[in-house]
Amino acid sequence: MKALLAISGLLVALGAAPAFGDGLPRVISLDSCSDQLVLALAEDRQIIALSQDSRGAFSYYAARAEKFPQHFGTAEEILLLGPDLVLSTGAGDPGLVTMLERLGIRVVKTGLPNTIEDALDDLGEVGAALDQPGKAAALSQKTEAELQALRQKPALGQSALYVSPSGVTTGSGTFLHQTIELAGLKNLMAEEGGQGWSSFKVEAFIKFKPDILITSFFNARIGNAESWRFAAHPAMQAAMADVSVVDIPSRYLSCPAWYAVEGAALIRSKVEEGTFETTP
Amino acid sequence: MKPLPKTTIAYGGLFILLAFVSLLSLKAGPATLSFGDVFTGLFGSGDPLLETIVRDLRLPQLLLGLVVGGTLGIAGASLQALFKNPLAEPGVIGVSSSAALGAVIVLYFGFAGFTDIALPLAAIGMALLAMSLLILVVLWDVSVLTLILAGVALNSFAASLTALALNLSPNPFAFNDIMFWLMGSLSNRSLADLTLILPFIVLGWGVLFAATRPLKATVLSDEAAHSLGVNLKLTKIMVIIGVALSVGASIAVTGVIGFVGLVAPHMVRPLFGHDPRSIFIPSAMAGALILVGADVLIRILPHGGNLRIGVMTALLGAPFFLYYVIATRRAMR
Repeated sequence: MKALLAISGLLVALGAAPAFGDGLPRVISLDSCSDQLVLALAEDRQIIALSQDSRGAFSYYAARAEKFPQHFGTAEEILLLGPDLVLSTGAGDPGLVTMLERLGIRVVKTGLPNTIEDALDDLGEVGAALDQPGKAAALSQKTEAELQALRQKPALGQSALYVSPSGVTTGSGTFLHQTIELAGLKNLMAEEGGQGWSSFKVEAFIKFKPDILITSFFNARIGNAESWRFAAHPAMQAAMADVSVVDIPSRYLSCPAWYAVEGAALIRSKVEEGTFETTP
Repeated sequence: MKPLPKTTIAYGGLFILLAFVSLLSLKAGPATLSFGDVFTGLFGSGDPLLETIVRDLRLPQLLLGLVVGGTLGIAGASLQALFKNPLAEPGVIGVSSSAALGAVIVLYFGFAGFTDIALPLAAIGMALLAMSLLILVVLWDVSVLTLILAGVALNSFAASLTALALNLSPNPFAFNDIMFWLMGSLSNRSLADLTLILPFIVLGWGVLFAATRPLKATVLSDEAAHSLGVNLKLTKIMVIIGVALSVGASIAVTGVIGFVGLVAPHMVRPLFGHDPRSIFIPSAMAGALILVGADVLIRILPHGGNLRIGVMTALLGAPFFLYYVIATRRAMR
């Protein structure tokens, strides 16, 4: 009994939401991308706790995440918080989901999609699990409309290359490739036959020389010593002279999610308006 | 009455410390439990939540800490005896980084989501592959120096491939997942994880224990051991196999945990002497003590949830080791 008292004390300490009688399932999200799904769809009273990344610069809903408790991702903590369901996109400790399922907790796993259309399917699935199908449908419709609007615009025609601080770029088959194409640009890596995520090469940059360099995550501060090392190379600097740099806040691109459409619209408007970064 | 021998007192002291830290490990965590709660939780109380917390969550974590800590201690003691070098530990022969590489490949390509055993199997597989290369080296040249240098090469090779996976991680989360895994953890592990790796670990222990007798003969010099009829090649191969099996399997479940293998044998040598056989069990007990102790600290400290066990063992181990090096500097010359 004493233990139970102590446990209920802990629940109060962690700020666990008291159960409401409206029958809406109460949820804990395990990783940053599942945080976004929960923050997009759940009512405040449904959200028990989010991951440690939920308030990071690369979290799309960082502002809304401020008011919810964060967990450390241990099975005991999650068990004590007593969620009706736990949401995971597969990131984080691979042992945690297995353990939660073993403890009889319902875990909804979505995985990380490769296209915005698949992200909309996940949105529907999570909407149903959270008993918020209406919200999911509305968000899907809004995104579909934005997708349509972007697709109807004429292609801009310029070639573009994406690069992250650690020098990662993308060929075809990723959501980021789709984002670049949606912005009306040609993904140079894909045009050259590149597939999936790969390493950015200064030589390839100089040889193919894109019109536009799309950058992101440079505000994420993930402790990468390699950040912009390639940009400091004299050959790269010479080649950069007539390349325009478009920097996109990482919150649009950190998860393969429906709001990548907004990222695409942002890239397009920056290119159309000519708002480029002065120096990378 | 005859006074108790020094080693008996030392064993008793280690055992009491280990029992105390183990109890603390069952008591510490997000749910505040008394020692009474721990006992009711362990031996049945009818309160399912309490039983789940103690039996399904904290007990497996404690047992894993004891087994893995013990393994690291034993592996460190065996390698220090084999290399006649007080700085040797499982990282030296490239077993840790190879096992880690196997696991990182699984994490990077997302195979971990398909089946639970993908991660441990890949880690053990990579450790065995690295070990086979080392054995080839030993068969070709029996010198300890060649073995260390080959280990350094394997270590660098595996570490650079791991770095490559980190470099190519598509977003900060994939990067974080791999980094966090590399820093080691005992939490969210179940008895099933332990059962999966235990056969490899016990086999490794057995091989390493069998190697302690010939290792004792090599304490003076390899030539002296050779004249006593010790098969040096076989001894080296036994240590490599034993370390790869036990440490490879441990890393498969917990990630890389540094410093325990290095420090544990040094902790017990002043009490139990330098004979590899007489410090075998004490090294295991000291390794378990450090690892479980570090795990308890992580759970007690405020915001400790952010700390990884590999980081904690190094934080605890490094100052101790520095003190030990200064205190014994004359003997080490």
